[in-house]
Amino acid sequence: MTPENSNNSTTAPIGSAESVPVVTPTSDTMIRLEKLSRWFDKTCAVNDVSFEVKAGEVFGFIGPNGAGKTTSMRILSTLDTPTAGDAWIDGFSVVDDSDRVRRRLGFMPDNFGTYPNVNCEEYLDFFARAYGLRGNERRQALMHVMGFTQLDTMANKPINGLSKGMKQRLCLGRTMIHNPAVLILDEPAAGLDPRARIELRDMIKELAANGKSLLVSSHILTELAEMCDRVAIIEQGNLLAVGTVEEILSGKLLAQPTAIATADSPTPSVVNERVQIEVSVVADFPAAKSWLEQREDIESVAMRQGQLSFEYPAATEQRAALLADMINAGIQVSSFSERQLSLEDAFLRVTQGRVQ
Amino acid sequence: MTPIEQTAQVNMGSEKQTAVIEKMRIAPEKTKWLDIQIERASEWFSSILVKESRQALKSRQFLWTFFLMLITVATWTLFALSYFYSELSGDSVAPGPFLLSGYWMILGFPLAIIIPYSAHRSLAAEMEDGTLQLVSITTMRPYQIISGKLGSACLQMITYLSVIAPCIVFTYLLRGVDLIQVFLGFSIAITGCIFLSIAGLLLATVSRNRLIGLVISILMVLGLGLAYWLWIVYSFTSTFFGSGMRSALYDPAAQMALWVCFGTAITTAAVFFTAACSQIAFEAENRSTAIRIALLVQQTFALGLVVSAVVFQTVPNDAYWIFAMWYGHYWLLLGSMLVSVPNNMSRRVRRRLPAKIWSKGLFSLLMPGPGRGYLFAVANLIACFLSFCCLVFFGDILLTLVGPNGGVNGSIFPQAITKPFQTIFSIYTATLYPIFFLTVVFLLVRLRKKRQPNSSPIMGALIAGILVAFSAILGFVLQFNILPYSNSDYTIFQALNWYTTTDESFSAMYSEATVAILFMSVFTAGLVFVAFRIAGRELLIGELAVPKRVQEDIKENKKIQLAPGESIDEIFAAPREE
Repeated sequence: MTPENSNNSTTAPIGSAESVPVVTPTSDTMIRLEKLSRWFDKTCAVNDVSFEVKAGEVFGFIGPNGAGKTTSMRILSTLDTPTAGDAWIDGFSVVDDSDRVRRRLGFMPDNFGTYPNVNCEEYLDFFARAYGLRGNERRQALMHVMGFTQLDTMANKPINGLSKGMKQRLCLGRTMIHNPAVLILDEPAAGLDPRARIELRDMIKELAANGKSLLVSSHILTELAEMCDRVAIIEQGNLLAVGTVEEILSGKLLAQPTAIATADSPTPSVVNERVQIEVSVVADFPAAKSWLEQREDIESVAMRQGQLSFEYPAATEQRAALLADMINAGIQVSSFSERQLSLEDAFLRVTQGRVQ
Repeated sequence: MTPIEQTAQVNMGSEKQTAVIEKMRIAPEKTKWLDIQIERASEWFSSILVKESRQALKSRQFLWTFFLMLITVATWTLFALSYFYSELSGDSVAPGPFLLSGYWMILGFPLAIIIPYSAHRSLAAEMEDGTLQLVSITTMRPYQIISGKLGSACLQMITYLSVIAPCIVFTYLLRGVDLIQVFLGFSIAITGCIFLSIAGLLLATVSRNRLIGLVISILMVLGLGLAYWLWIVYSFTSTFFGSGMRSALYDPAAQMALWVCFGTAITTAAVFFTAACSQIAFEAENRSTAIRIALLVQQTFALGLVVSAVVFQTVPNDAYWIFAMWYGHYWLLLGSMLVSVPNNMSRRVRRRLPAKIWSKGLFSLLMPGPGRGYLFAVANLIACFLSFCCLVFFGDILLTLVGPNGGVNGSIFPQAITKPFQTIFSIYTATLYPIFFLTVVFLLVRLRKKRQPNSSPIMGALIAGILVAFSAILGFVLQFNILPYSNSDYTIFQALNWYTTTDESFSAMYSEATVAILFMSVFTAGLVFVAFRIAGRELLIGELAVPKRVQEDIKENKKIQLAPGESIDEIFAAPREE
């Protein structure tokens, strides 16, 4: 049997920058979820979730534990079926055309399934055969994958003797053994040391550069911010925000816009953009904190590393006005600086930390 | 130069990359001819079989069992030969059967216990560890996964048989063992091992969590222990009554019994196999058609046995009644499970619904759905009843045409059918009740599904069992309460009792049971009418068109089929032009 994805893939030499077979996407949208819902008895794990992932895009899926990330990914990987709605991989429904989806999709779950008495090469060889690769086609696929994941020196090592990082590499190798156009990685960096994380991030970037679409869930948000083109934030099965990392950080796509009334414009104007302000005061931190907390246009006031930190949804002129107000109120400000919201801040702000 | 080296040269082209390949040792030094042939042959084998063979070769459990068996065989041989040393050249005692029975018992342990249990645990462990999910999202079909596991069990069986085969040949050289005995022993051992392995695989797919898995494993071990005990009984019997058994094999009744045993084991294994495949299949897949075909095959086999019994044996009236009760229970049990499957037909299945009138007529009832399942079971019950009617009426013609003794007795009925109409009447009664109970189960499950859409097939079977038992008990309770001085004779109160009514219809054609049967016929007809109206709606579901994207994919797949003289490497290495 010949996998049809070999129709639109080319082979690059091992060891070069393009050691992953290049995928030429057949359509622009590789992953599409439309009003996807999944209920387990009376518990709603995924509620009316819709988003799209384009070809060659790295899409981050962020949410606390129990948010519905894994359930969504399992549905996309044809391991589960939705209660309502549908999802498509490369235009094929995950419910109705699971066999076609499976040829185009590689799924890396958060748990690593091992077999006793099997070494790395045999493990990958088994999955290559399971994907219908035969003869030289299979051997070539093995070479590419082992070269890419740098497992070539460990071909004969038993899986049980591998470190966590190496197991993750092997798991990634298994996921891409049949050269799928779409990769779904559930917590791929969990439990890895910093070096292994950086290497994994580079691999993911390389895969995306070769035309693959990746849906990646992770708790390490700083890494997602670096590698993802777009992210989605999900909590309690509900999609809270979708957009580029910049859009999420700027607050444009975050939940409720803040209405601000100024003296010059008595009618409240909606300002979406938020910035993180850090203020140092000479003395009497509690009084300054209390003063800030009393203002309605200021949110999330906190003490952080000897500074007062808060979110202020305003433009430059309004920030200047705020500084003036603070000085007029008798607060001895020694520094007043703006810090852009990190993905972590945005995540904490959007999510409520509830689990199901 | 091996194929892999050739490929490496073509695709790498630099010394550094060739060195990488050598270091990777993707293709170990397969200089040995046998290794190369095995590698080539493995391309045709199931990937699971290849993986599990590699695992088995490194597995201590397999090696220990194998060597233990070798040691046990050697010990038994030495013991038996020293025990019978003085008899080897004498005429008083034939040592062959004694030696053979020991070998059978040694062989039975791995075949009846170790292999089926290993097959069961192998699949159950994959389900528990989540590795089955990783395999199920590859392009492997469920039947390939199950047959891969079964193939692995068969390979182990062949290994154990290869140990024992030389010893069996040795016993054949001694006095008291003939080929039929050896052939029969091997046939039972191999069929039994395959049957138990498939049963083990099916049970593994049923266990959805570790607790249920543990309970099933314990029950499985007990069942396998029982199978091994039966095998030991056979081994002893074949030793001490070997000559009697051999002569019995020439008896048509014994031959028929063998056919029944082997046929039942093989067809039941086929049903179990399809059921195991459907258990691990994706929810939206068609999980019913293969099972229904396997059931049809089993029923056809049973009917074939009955026909041959009529042709080659003298079948008394009782036999018809027994056969009718068998298929009644068979279709009530399986029909109750079929009507309990989920109600929603996936779009994927709807795309493959038969479209033409002739195919609708032939294949509609094989498609998934509880309504179709109900109609399928009822159609089979009616088909069995009509087949038996034909047998009763035309059995004598069969006897005349192909029977061993001509069988002509001046009557149109088979010789032993002294009361043909009453026989048909009792078969009708035996068929009526399962239709009645099945219809009630269908309607009850239908009502329950409005509140609880996900019901298990086991639940349907349980409802059927409770209904049958309750109806039987209810009749006696009513009778003894309303008629306190009555004895246990049949009365109209037992109209709901399948067993007593059928028995009464067999004893006398015009009795109180006739009234009960008439009443039940009318009542059942009413229920069946309602059930048919509900189930018939499923037949009205139209097929769906194949989506455009799928059509495109089918066309693309046709394009990349290999042209004559073209290699798969060329396709993999260079993109094709549209």
